[in-house]
Amino acid sequence: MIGALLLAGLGAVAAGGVLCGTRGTVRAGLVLQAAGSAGIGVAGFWVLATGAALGPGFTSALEPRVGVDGLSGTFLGTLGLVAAPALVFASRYLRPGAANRLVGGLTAVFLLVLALVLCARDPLTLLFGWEAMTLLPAVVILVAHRGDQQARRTVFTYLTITHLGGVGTWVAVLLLAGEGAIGSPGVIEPGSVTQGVIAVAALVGMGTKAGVMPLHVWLPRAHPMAPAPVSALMSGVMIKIAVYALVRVLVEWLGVLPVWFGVLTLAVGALSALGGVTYAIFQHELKRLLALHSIENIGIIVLGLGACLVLRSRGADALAAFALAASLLHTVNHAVFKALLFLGAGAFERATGTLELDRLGGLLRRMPWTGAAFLVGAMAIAGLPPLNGFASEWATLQALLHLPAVGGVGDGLAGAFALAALASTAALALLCFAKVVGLVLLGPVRSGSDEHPVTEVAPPMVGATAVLALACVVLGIVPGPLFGALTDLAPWPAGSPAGSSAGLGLDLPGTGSLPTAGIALVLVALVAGLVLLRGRRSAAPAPSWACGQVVGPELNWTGAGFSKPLRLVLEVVLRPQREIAVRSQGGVLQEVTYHGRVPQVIDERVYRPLVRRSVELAGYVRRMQSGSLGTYVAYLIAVTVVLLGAVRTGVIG
Amino acid sequence: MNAGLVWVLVGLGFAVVTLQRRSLAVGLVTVQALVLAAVAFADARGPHDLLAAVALVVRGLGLAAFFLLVIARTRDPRLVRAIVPPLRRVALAIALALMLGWLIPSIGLVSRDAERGVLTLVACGLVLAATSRATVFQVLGVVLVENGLALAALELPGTSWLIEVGVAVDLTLVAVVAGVFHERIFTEFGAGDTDALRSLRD
Repeated sequence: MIGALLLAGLGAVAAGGVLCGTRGTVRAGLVLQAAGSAGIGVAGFWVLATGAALGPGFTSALEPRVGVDGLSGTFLGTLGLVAAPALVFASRYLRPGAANRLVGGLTAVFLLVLALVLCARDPLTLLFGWEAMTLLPAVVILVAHRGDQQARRTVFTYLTITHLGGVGTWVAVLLLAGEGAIGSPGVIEPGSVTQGVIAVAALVGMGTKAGVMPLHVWLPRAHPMAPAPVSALMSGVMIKIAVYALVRVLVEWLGVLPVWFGVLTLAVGALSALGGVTYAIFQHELKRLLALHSIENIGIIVLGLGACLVLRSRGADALAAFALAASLLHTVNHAVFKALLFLGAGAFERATGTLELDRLGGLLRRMPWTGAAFLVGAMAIAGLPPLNGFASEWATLQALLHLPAVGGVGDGLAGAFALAALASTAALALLCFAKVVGLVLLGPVRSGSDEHPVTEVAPPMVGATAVLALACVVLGIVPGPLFGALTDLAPWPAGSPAGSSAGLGLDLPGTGSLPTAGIALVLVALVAGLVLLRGRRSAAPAPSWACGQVVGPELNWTGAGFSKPLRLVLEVVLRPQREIAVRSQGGVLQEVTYHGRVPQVIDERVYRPLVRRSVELAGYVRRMQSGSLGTYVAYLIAVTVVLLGAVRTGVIG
Repeated sequence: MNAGLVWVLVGLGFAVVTLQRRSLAVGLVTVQALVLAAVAFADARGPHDLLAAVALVVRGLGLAAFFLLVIARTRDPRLVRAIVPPLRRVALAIALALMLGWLIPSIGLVSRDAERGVLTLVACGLVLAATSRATVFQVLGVVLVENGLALAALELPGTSWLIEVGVAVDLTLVAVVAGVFHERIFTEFGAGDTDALRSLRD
């Protein structure tokens, strides 16, 4: 039954993709893809809930085979949960035209490839799916921005970084296959050099795809370039597939890893979480800001994974299972609220024609449904109770709190730093989304005109965001069933504290339970009480005093103004750049223009010098390229002779 | 294979290296292929060996016809001189053949003469391709190398047909692509001279 549902879902996605190729049936094709995705999602969560496994198990042999188990089911479920509303949204978001027909068809292929990676049960299928998963978004971006130089440059950066980093994935998977360890944990000796090499290679390769710092540079460039529903799929699902691969390799196939690797993972997670949110605060473009928040949330997920690895290496299996579940719960939650936010951004772009924060405003009044859904997503990503972001961040925090209890001073220090990073990240995320909500949803309207007023988008687009907002609420109020099932995914007998006995809330080891539904009820009661207390009184707006000037739009809050206090505090680290031009005439000030940016330190200090040196080196190498065919043949002869000489003298072989 | 025949093939190879006229070089390379085909027919012990011989004849004559057609369509106004003078090319080919002989003591063939002949033909082909400017000569260098491989294949009874058919397909592809490029170069620059391509380098 589950298998039939999964196959039907995949078939519907494929059929939807074919329909998108025909003029006049693009919408139908996208809706069919959405229905298929929903089927895939239901089948995935069904597998997770029942603990059933479909198809054969993993093999290290290069024999293509596919199957589904609980972990694959979790990610297939997430895929369905995100893709179904995103595709319904796309059915009205994508404007008619040849390019968007192609985008619709490519989306189907992208979904099938994502499902293939999750269902792959051998190294060959896994690596094939992995490479296709990397290439397809690049094609979508190029099709959507045909002839755009900026898009080409972005795609070049994306492909370069993900392919260079992707070497790590190949090394990890092929070494695992060579050792016969795919699907056979315990084959590789714990603490061996091979185990360490595979673990580091996986963290680099899969971490690049996930967007962890400092391998993240492609993400804030590529995600905003894609059409909004594809951005939702990339941020909501694609980078989570990298998390899936990391869990498979680090938690399942490599057995118990040494403590140093767990601490390294914690450090990478902390850097990503803090770095992502810090740079997000200073962004002026909504989708780029959201993309940087993906780095932050991947950091939180990796923090949970790091806690799991350290706890497992210390023999605290039950707590390790809890940490793994926290990490996976945040993976699902981030997929949902990030997809919601990207779709919301897409709706705002359609309605206003811009995503510049300083040109948006008052959208909660003009687009009440989309605005309200976006507000839910913003609260969820900021980690506010009772939404899903709070539930998983709280569980991650609990997992980190247990690190000092099971290990020595080193573990305690690592745990303390990770806790501080997570707490700071949560605070900064709240600051960032206070800015976003304040600038975009509240305040005066700053876009549109009398002829073209900003209005609510089409009902399917509103419905898609509403469904995801509802999912944020449900996963926040009732995280227990999912969390319990995720705890059972640990590939070791955990005796888990929050296993199948989990209730509706979160069962937290050592600190009792967190009744999330109760918290929600209290919050609702408090809000209702405040509303009742207010009675019929309403806010009394008064004109702002601006030293006698007329209060115009130019005096409104800007993103730069909102984040300035933090920028001043972090000036030494961030090195912000600004340019002020003053134009005066006859001693009277006419115009002041201000341009400010916060360059990414890793871009400026690591990648830019690296690229410069590489180009210089390429210049030297280029001298070998004479343009003469004879010279190239001579090179071939020389290489062959040198290799033969090496064999003859015993250097090789 | 008879040692004398091997050295006839090698002699033809060296002769191609010294030539400057394209049609003459095509003729000698074709003669080489036909000698190989004749040996293949003479030694044939079954349908597979016959297939190998037929493949040699077909590709020898087919390539000759193709090259002559290309040459007829692209008459060079003047001779395209090689980068290195003929005698020095021969010296280079001998040096490379000796070096290969030292580097590869054995390639597993029954006849020692055939092994030396194979390596010498490969060396002649590589030197011809590396030191020529005329596109046709560069392709003929590849054909010489492949003739060397064909000679090796004839010394491996039972599997030679696979190699000969493979070589024939390879060479047809190489020749067609090279022919198209040659015509294009000729149209653009007025001569089948690969040195003219240097001007395209940015």
